[in-house]
Amino acid sequence: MEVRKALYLVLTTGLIIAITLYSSGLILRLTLIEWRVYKTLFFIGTIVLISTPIAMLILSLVLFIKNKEIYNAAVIIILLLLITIGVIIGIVLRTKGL
Amino acid sequence: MEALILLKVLVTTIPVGFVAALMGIGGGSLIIPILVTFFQIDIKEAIAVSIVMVIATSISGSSRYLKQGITNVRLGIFLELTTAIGAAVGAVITTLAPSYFLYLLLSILLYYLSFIQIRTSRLEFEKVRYEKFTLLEEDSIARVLHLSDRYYDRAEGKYIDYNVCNSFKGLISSFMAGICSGMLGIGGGVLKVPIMNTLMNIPMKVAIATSKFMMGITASTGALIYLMTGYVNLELVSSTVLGVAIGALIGASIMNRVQANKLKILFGILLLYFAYLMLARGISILVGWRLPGA
Repeated sequence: MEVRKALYLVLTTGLIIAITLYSSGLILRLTLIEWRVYKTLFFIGTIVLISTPIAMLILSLVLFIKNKEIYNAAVIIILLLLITIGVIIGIVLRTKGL
Repeated sequence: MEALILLKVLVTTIPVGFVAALMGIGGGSLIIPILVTFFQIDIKEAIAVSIVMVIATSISGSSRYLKQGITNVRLGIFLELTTAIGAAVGAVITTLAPSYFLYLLLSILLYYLSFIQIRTSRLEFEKVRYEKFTLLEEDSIARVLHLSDRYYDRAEGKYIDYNVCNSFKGLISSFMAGICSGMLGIGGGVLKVPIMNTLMNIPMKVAIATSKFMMGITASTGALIYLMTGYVNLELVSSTVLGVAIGALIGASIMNRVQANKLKILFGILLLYFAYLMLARGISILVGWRLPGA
């Protein structure tokens, strides 16, 4: 599959799921104020939104390996490692109040 | 939070998503003053919301640009490598230089880039119209990573081929853009678009689409940290994301229909706004004058 088309499908799917969850949550929030289900919907929506670019990177990695574009695959692996390290350091610093 | 406020936030953020998609920026510098000034949201809360919002504008915008075949995926991932390292380095060394100095320095750089963007708008038009993006030869990095590409320009009604040049310089400049982003909290879009367009021989529309693609990756790291440490106001995020997603879809749909030279002029004007914002913040810290937007 062509890289752009595959990434378009991942991004669109992620966006549609996140928007559906946010819209449902917002409707519940506006109509049934006491019903706390909306908070769960907002949380899952945010998780989906944040995960979508990472899913896109992982799919790019798979496609580059499949297309034997080894240098581009290596660039993504390094990028994913940097992101993982960044998240771990960020969480440690934030939880320590730095 | 009141339901009416959430609806007002949703409506107010639609234009932000539109501008962000059209110009290839995250929109954080536009949304934070709006949330703080008009909705009295705490600055830290507004920053956390803006990071999640940047992902939404990036996904909405770049999904359209990917479908239109404008985004250069390989180039985006390649430059993202040093942008991510630069952002981390910037966040660590932020205490080494006084912040007013950095704001004033960046303000001068943005005024200069704004001048360059507006001055070279005619040249961009000629390069697109007379297919001059292939006159320069691609460099060895671009050849190995298959960075040179083509896109269909709807305003011109034809395919535009381009060769990527100065890849190494682009990588170093992206590192510097990442440092500015990490130190000053501005999105990299305002710097990455001119770097790609002016330095690397990338057409303006491709630079905008690729910048939009890249910023979702950068922002997801920051957003995950904010979410896991409980800084994100989910109610506010929901209405902001819905608003900017609508605006970004509209902005991304019309970008390819606008002539490249007009986009450059608009981008130059946007850079003027950011240059003023940085100047106002620098002056505010240095002498205590509170200029609007600081």
